[in-house]
Parts: sequence; structure tokens; C-alpha cells
Amino acid sequence: MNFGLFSITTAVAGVALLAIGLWILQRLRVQHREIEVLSTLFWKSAIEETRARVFVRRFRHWWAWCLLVAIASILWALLGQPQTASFDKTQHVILIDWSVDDQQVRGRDLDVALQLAAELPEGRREIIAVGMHLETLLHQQEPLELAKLRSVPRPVPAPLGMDWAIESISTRAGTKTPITIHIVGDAPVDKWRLSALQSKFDNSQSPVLKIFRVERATSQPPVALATFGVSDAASGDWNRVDIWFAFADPEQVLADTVGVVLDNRPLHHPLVARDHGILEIQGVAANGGLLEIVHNDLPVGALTLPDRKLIRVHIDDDVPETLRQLIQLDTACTLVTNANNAEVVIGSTPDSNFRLTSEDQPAFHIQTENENAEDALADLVDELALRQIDATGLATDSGRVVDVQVASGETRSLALWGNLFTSSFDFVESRACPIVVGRAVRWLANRPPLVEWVELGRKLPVASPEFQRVADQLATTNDGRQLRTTRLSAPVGRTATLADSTENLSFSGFNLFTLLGFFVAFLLIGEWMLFQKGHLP
Amino acid sequence: MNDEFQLLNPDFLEQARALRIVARRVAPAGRWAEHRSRDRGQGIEFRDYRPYSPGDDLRSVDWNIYRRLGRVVVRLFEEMEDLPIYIMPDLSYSMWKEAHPRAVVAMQVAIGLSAIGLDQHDRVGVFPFGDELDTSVRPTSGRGRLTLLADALTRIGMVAQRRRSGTDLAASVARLRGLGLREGLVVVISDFFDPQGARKILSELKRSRHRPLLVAISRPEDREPTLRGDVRVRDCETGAVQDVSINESVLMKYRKAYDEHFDLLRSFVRQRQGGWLQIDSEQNVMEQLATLFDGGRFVA
Repeated sequence: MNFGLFSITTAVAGVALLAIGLWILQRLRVQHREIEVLSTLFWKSAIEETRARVFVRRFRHWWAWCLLVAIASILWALLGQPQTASFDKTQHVILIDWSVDDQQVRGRDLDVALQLAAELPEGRREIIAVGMHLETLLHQQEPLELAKLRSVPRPVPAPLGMDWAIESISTRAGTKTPITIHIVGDAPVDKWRLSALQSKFDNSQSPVLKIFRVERATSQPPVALATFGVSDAASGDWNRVDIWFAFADPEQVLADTVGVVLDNRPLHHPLVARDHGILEIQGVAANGGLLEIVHNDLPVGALTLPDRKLIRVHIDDDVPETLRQLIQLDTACTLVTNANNAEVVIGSTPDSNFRLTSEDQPAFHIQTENENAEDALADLVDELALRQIDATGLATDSGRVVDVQVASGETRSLALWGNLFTSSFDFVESRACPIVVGRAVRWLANRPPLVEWVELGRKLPVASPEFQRVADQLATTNDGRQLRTTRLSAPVGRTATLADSTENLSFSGFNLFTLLGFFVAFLLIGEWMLFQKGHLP
Repeated sequence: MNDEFQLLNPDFLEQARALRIVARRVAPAGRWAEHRSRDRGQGIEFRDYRPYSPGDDLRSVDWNIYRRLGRVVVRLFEEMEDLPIYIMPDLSYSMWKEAHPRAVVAMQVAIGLSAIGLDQHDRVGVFPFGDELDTSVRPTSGRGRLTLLADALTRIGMVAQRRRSGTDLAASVARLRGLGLREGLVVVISDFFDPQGARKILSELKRSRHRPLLVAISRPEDREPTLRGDVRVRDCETGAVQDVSINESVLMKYRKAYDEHFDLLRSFVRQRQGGWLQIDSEQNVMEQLATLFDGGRFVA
């Protein structure tokens, strides 16, 4: 209850009540009989005033009563934290990037927004979350607490981003109304789009559209990864992978400050330095663990490793021994006896997806689930390493044309001459043989080579398109693996540089609360001095 | 001048002249009188030898020593000089307020001490004070000057009685110090109800070179007030008011404050080997004043 909530009549009535109450209280004060003494020196030391129950005393000076009424009224008014009206009519909109799928980041951004909102005029500020659409968390005139109640955790992507939000809000406000947009956090704003937008506004006298950034304290590590990836192990072990990464500024990073943590336990594999500042960790077990890179004990990037299971292969009895041995030697494969339980069945029956055919059939027949099989032929030849085969030699030995046919189908399969694995041809003696067999088995089992990586300034090929604008993103790859990264990509060249909000707040009206506080303190000191001198009550 | 306050009572003066103020040793550069001085000179009582230097009186050369030791020395004798007495009676309003004014008692004590001083050829100055020091009466000596002092004091007293001045003993002592008077005995005769408190008074007295004699004019009611109940006490000099509900507990604190105030003054006087006398203004002044003089002598 204060002046701000009452009508003028009620406020005046309240002051009158205070005045009457103080007058009545004053009449209850002690009444003393006055005696002149030689000195009050010793009485001052001995003073112990007790209240006398006297009802008939009045103020000795009428202005003393007025002073007390003034003090009480101002104290009452101070409860409302009054402020003078501001001539500045600028609307303030605080934007929070709501696409971040991290409750901690969201909560922190909302706190920052609320802190800023508390400093803004209540009638001219609002908080809007930018997600799939603009969601107003706090309307004008609303108490700040409502914003927290409305911030229901709903992870949504922000396909149109902060640029779209700024355009929408400024369009809604019109080109004449002064509007200031405060962006919480470091969501990028396209400087070209921003420049184009501002040109639409009437900035002839003073800028109508202002955009600031509210820098928030962040736990972002001081260094960032520029590259982070995982690939097949150079050793050829199927159940191991190689990790490689590079810092954005390798010269600032000392080797002994970098650590690797696998499933929350330090990984003691040596870091192998490569060209261009790339560091490599070789032979990490591909068991689906979470591998983190830390710098000075702060995580700078994380990667969920693939969980590589062995390819189950069934080999029929009529398969040449050479091929059988090749499969047995491949660390990616495990032989199963039940063909129904196998991912790859090698044999000459039509049920086999690695089918051995006679020489009257095409040398290589590839069936792919790709509907445009002819278009995929070149890629398939590369993926299956068929270019490494000495096709001329095979043609000479067989006296037939060695051709590669491709067809579309529901499942993958590969048919090739069974005699290639016999002494009829010297294919088994060639270096291409184990490669072709290995690639074929992996392709049939749908185990593509691992080359998953992210690089500064580029999008992750398999990640969400929003990857560039969010931090601590979990990007999902095609086969379900998650690649978690730090802020790796920042399109620096196009990001607008925005001034800091907190350094550009000149909107608020004069703080009458402080002024009145000083004034009432002054009055209280005056009252105390008057009381000491005996002029009060 | 008509003796308004009857300061020159013959019986009173006769009793006073039987008393003596004896200085342990007075400051040099005084006039010839009865007190031993720190000066060496041509007195009667031998004090010391010193080597002869050109210009010395040949009559003071000790020829016996010259004959025996072959060295020329002169004999030094104690000088006998006067003791300057500066008397400061308090004539502020609190000293006049009662039916039997304490100021009159203070003036009687001042005249009594002046009579003693003048009688033994000492130089006496009377400096009445209230909220400031009155220096209109110049220090004087000679028995015949007592009447002049009494007249001057009566005239000043009559003015002070009407003026209702406050008390600023500290400033008055500071002013006396500023006069640059020869080191002597300063006698303060007052109720010592200075609103600035005893510590302020003492801070100024401690800076003074004079030996102090403090004479407190008091009444038993000063320490044992008869006031009871809810009282607004108003200081008769400053007009400051203090609301106080007087009960036994408050009275105990009052007495404690009173005792502390005068204990501080007494303690200071002891440290400076001065004198302290408390006089009840309702009782015979001369009888009480005589208690200060042990065996008829007060050693200052």
C-alpha cells in the first residue's frame, strides 16, 4: 500500500490519518514539571527517562507536529519506490535464444534477461523467447516473476534464428516507434540483414531501432576446438578408432594442459602431433563411450564414440577356401553357422547377399537400395574398391568382358564370379583381393567408413542446420550416434558486432526513491537535533 | 565605594592577616619579598659558590678560600622574592541564583586571600570570570591596595549580577595563560559547574605553569538534590533542558557523576601539589578558609 496504488483522495486521507495518529500519540508522551537548576551537567549523566501516563500534553511547537507528519508521509510514500515519469518512450524488447537445448543455459539467460528487465521502465519492457515462434515470457506491466512461470522447458529448434525475430519485432513496432532490442547471449545476428533492416527506419533525427547485446558471464573455456573428428583406426582394428582434434589457436595451447577423458576417467593414450596443429589419439576402443577433450581441466569438446559390433558372416560350404580364410582374418567379422542370424551370407545360393556366380554371369553385379542405381554406380565402385582390381588381367584370363552391373532393389547384394577366388585367376594373389572383400562385407552390413568431423566455420554434414547458432549442441549422425561439440563454428565474417546493453541504458527516469530517501534522512537528523536541543516535542 | 557585598569586614580581615601563604620556591625575576626564590643573589642565607668572573662584586669574593686554595670564587645567597597570586572568582549566573549567592562567598574568599597576599608583600591580581575572563583589575601589591581591590571587585560583581553570564572556566584559564604572567599561584573560586565538564577545565589548567588552588563553593543540595518525579531540568545559564524521571536509581547515577566530577579536580590538584578547599556557602567563610592553612600556613 502506498501512494502509487491509491487515488489522490485516498492518499490525502491517509496522510490525514497519519497526522491525527501522531497527534494522539504525542498527547500520550510524558509531561515534566520544569525546574531551573544551577547545572544540568550531572543530570545528563544520570538520565533515565520513564514514561509518565499523562494525556494532556500538546506539542510545544505546531511545526514539530508538521515535521513528524512529513516524515511519516514520506516513509509511507517510499514503500512505493516512486520514480518520475520519463520523456523517453522507447520500447525495450529483450530477446532470449530459446533454441538452446540446455536448461542450465536457458535458466542463466532468463536470469540475465530478468536482471535487465528490472532496470527498465515497467511499462515499456517485455521479454520474448525466440524459438520456432516468438513466445512472450513477460508482457509490459507484468511482475518479473511471471516470466519464470512461463519458461516451460520445451526444446525447440529455431530455424529462422535471431535475425527473423528482430525483423518480426521491429516490423510489429512500426518504423516510427523507437524500439531497443536487447539480445541476451551471443546468438549471431547477420550484419547485412541488420543493416538492411535499419535502413527502413526513420533514423533522420535519432536512431529509431537500436540493437544491443547483453553480455552474460559464461563458463565458456578460453580456448575452442577448431576441428574434432573420429575415423577408422589406422591400425585396421575394427573395434578401435582414431580421434583427432585441433585447437583454434594451437600456439596458445600447451601440450601438458590438454587432457583426454573417456567415460569420466583419464585416457592415457599418447597424443600424436600432426600437421596444422592436429593432435591424434590412436586406437581408442570403439565401445560407445563418451570421449572428452579438456584444457586446463575445462571441457572444450566431447564426442560419443561409435559402438562397433562385429559383422556376423555366414559362409556356405561350397565357398572357396581362400575367401573363407580372408573372412576369418578380417577383425570386423565373426562367423556364424546360422544363415538367418547373419548380416552377410556368402554362398552361391540366391539367398546369399554375397553371391558367387559362374563366369557366364556378369563379373560384378551390385544391387543397391538407391532408386537411381545408375547414378550411384560411380560411388559404389569407389566404395567397394573395384577400381583397384586388375580388370584387364581378369578379362585376359577369362576371355570375357569384365563388366560391373548395377540394379536397384530392396536390399543390398553383391554377385561376383566365384572363380575369382580359385587358382583360375590370380585375383587372390593381388593386393586388391582383401580390400574388395573387406569393403564388400562392410558395405553389405551397412557399416560405412568412419569420417565424422566438425570444423570451424563449416557445418557438420549430418548435423542439424541450427548447429551454427547454438552452443553445447548434441548433433545426431545418420546412424544414430551423437556427436557433441562445443561452439565450433562461428560465421565471423557475417556476424554483426553489437554494443553492450548495460553501457547504453539511459532510459530510466530520475530515481525519486533515492531523493526522497535522502530527504527523509535529512528530516530525521533535523528532528534528532531539535530533540537534543529541547525544541521537540 | 559603598561596600555592597561587605567584603571589607574588619573581623574577617583581621583573621585573614593571621594566615600566611608560603611558597616552596618562587619564580625568578620578582620583587623583594618573603619567599625563597630560584634566583641566586644578594640575600642573607648562603646558598652556593661559583667561580669569579669579571664584573662580580669584589665584596662577595670569599678571600678565605682564595688564601687556602688560591682560587677566586664568589659566594651566592638566596634571593627572597614575592609570590604572584592570581585569584579567579566565578561570577557566572549560577553563582548568583540562590538567596545567599555563592558569588558573594567567592568574592569574600578572594578578598581574604588578597589580604593575606598583600600583607606579605606579594603581588595580587583579581580576575573575575563568567563566560570570559575580566582583566580590568591590574595585579597590584602593598597593604593599602586591598580597598581598591574590594571596590573593583564590588563594581564588577554588581555588573555580573545583572548580566546573567554563563560559565566557561576553560576559556578563562586559557585567557589567563595567554596574559603571560609570572609563574605564581592561581586560585579558582567557583562552583565548577562548567557545562563542558571537568575534563575540559583540567585540559586547560594542565597547560598552565601556575600552581593551582581550587576553592569549590558548594551546598549539600548540590550532591543530594531534593527533586523527585518527572522533571524537566533547565540549566539556569545555558537554558538547555533535560527531561529526567528521578528515582533512587537516577539519584545514585547523579551522585556518581557529581563525585567523579570533583574527584577529577581533586586528583589534578594533588598531582600538581596544589590546594583544594570546599566551602559551604551557608557556613562561616573565614572558619572554612582557615582549614586550608595548616598551622596558619598554606604551602603553595
